Amino acid sequence: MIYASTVFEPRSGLPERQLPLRDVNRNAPWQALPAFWEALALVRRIRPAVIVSTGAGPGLLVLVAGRLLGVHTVWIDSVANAERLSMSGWLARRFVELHCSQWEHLADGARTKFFGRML
Amino acid sequence: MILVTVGTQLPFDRLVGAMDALAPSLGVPIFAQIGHGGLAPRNMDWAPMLSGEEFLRRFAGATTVVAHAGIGTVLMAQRWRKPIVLVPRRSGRGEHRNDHQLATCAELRGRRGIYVADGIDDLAVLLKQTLLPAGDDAELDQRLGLVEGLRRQLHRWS
Repeated sequence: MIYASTVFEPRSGLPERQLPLRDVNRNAPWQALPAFWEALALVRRIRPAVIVSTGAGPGLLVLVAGRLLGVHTVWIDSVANAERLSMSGWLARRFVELHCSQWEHLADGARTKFFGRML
Repeated sequence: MILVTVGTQLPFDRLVGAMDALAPSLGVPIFAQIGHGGLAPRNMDWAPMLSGEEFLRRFAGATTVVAHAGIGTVLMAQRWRKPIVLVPRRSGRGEHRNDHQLATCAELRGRRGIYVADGIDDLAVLLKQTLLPAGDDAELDQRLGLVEGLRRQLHRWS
């Protein structure tokens, strides 16, 4: 299990296998291009069996890279999005193999599934 | 001890200022992790950012946690069985990019041990009450459901 993240957060109890990820959000869209390039390089280097992301922008780009490179992809929309999917979650819905919301009323029984939630 | 935390990503001076103003009337020690905020509290102990280890130590030792409506903090409160008072960030005040913390609060309001304060008055009232610890079995079932759903899919791929 390898974690790629924009922040190093020892408090979340992550193991030492953490890789840095460039931050991307819609306030600075120009960062998406280099970030996507780095995501491609990252997936090529790690060659994971599955990529799981809860978003947001940076995770989405790694999933796109994974999909292009033939890696299994999972999106778990953050439990913070209780009223509607996040913007990145909405975009991920179109291409990931397994797409979950953590709220039953946001699952549609087809593309977006519900299994439970973190809290 | 009351622990105040605004998460690691964005400042939340409205919450820090409110707790600092309340501090003298609460009669208990308060520690605030204020992140990148520009407001230096006068009536409570604080730090911009604690190490993960130190934060955990303070969290475990707290009687009550007061926080922005961040999921990570809510999860920690449930894990450590702490009462948590949430103050949602509002995009209209420049506290976040959107109002998802309001939606989070709307969903979590009324859960055992999770309290929502919409303003400083609510905070004052809540912090003078006896608060229940967060976390219960139904929430654990939800968590296991998610883990099991993912496990099944990963098994199909392996």
